[in-house]
Amino acid sequence: MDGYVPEEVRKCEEFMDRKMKPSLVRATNERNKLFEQQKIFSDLRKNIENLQKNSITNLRTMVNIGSEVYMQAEVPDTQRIFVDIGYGFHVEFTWDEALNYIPLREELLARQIEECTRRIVRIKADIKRIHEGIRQLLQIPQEPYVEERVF
Amino acid sequence: MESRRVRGESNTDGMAERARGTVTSLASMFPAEEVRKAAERVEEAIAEKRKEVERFREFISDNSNLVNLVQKLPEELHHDVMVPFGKAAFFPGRLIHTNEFMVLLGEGYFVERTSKQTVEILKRRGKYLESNANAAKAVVEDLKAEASFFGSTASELAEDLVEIREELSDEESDASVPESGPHEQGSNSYEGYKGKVPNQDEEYARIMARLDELEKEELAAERADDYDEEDTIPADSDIFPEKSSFSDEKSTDSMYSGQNLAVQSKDRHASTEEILGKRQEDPHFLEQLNDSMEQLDGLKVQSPQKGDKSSMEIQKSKHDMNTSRIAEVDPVHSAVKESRQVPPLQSSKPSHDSLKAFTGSIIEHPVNLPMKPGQQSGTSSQASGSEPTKPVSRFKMRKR
Repeated sequence: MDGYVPEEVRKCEEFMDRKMKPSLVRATNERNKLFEQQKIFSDLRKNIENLQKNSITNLRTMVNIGSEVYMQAEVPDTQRIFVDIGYGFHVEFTWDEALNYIPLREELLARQIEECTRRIVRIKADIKRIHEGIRQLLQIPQEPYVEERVF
Repeated sequence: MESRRVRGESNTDGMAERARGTVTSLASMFPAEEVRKAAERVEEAIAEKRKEVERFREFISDNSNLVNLVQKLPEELHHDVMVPFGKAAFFPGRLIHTNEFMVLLGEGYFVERTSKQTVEILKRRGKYLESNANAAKAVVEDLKAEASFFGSTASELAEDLVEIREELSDEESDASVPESGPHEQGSNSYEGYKGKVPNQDEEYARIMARLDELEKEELAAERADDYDEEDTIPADSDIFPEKSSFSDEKSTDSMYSGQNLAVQSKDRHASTEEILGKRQEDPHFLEQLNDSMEQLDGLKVQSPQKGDKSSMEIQKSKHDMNTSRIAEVDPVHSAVKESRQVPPLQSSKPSHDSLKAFTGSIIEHPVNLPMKPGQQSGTSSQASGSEPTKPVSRFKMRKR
């Protein structure tokens, strides 16, 4: 094998390690954050539905005032909730209004997750293509295609 | 792979013999690439540790903020707050039971504590964080030292410095001093490299040289006051510097005790001049001695403070020498002041005896010491008068 081919291979590998893999990692992290947000809002919705169902008017809870030091807190009137709608804004809602808003938010999050997933898939496909190119350059025999189970 | 790097002083007296040596280029020992890579790695490690130190600092400041908060909260019965409900919603509410705090101790254990107790817990946490932060800082310091070492190695590689290993001859033992090894460029850096003799020996040699000078001066001081009297206990330069310093002290005590005032004062003037002549590099001590000597005539007691500040390179023995000097002048004062020489000095004697290692053998400075040419004439004029035939100290011999 002459020295030129490994040079190409090396360049491909470098490109992959330096550009593709970090972007893949970044995209995956973004998607994870979106997943978390989704979970937060779905939990909130469940809790509000719970409150509504049991007509809970006041609440005793423990508030974290920092470094896991908690203090008792009392909510005398649970009718008004301030919900985070993004960009640092919180809107005062009643239960029903909140229950109206939260699904809309969840929808938005789902769309964002979808977009992120597409990006990730694209990056993964690029990585695979480069792998294939390297394989051809080094003339490694193709691995037999194993039929994978599709879930 | 690192050979011991020694900052060597070139031999001024030409004492060290040049034995057979090997010359190796530094570049062969530390390839430039690796040095650079090592330097980079150390830089990365430094950056990481710095971040850690920052994080600890943040934790500590958070902790102190929390302490303030916990102290302020019990001032009111209730506090109106926004109570969070999950991560994305709030309820307006109030904090109640403002003196009860639930603190997480770890591993899922919580304790209910009052405000004061919580503050104590937090303070303990703060101390622990501080010690962690200091440890991280120490690591950063070490890494920085490493980095500077690599940096200087890299620069030396660029200068084409050469490592020279010399075999030590037996006579020289510790005192031989490494030579600098500039290559073709003839760089005048005084960095020598010694393969076999470790770094300590050089410092040891320096310490010994210093002590020699000091001993000689004290001897001269004694001698100056002690023309007629038989020198029964001259300065001992034999075994260890500390012990010899104590022996010096003892000898001066005994000597001073046997004199009368007039002779003392006159001789002390002479000794002051002697010391003046010898100790050029210690002006503080000179001044102090001068002052004290002059004031002895007026029977004024002056506590010598400057003895502490005398500039000496030696660490441990420095302190001992200083104390010996101060103690030396103090008994002088006491002798002069009270003209009651025996009791205070006798009381100080046994303590010195207990600290001395030698059994009382009398050994004297040899006449021609190679250290300082200026001092040689002084010592020879003094020493040759009294005891020229005493055996040369083993200590001195080792230095030769």
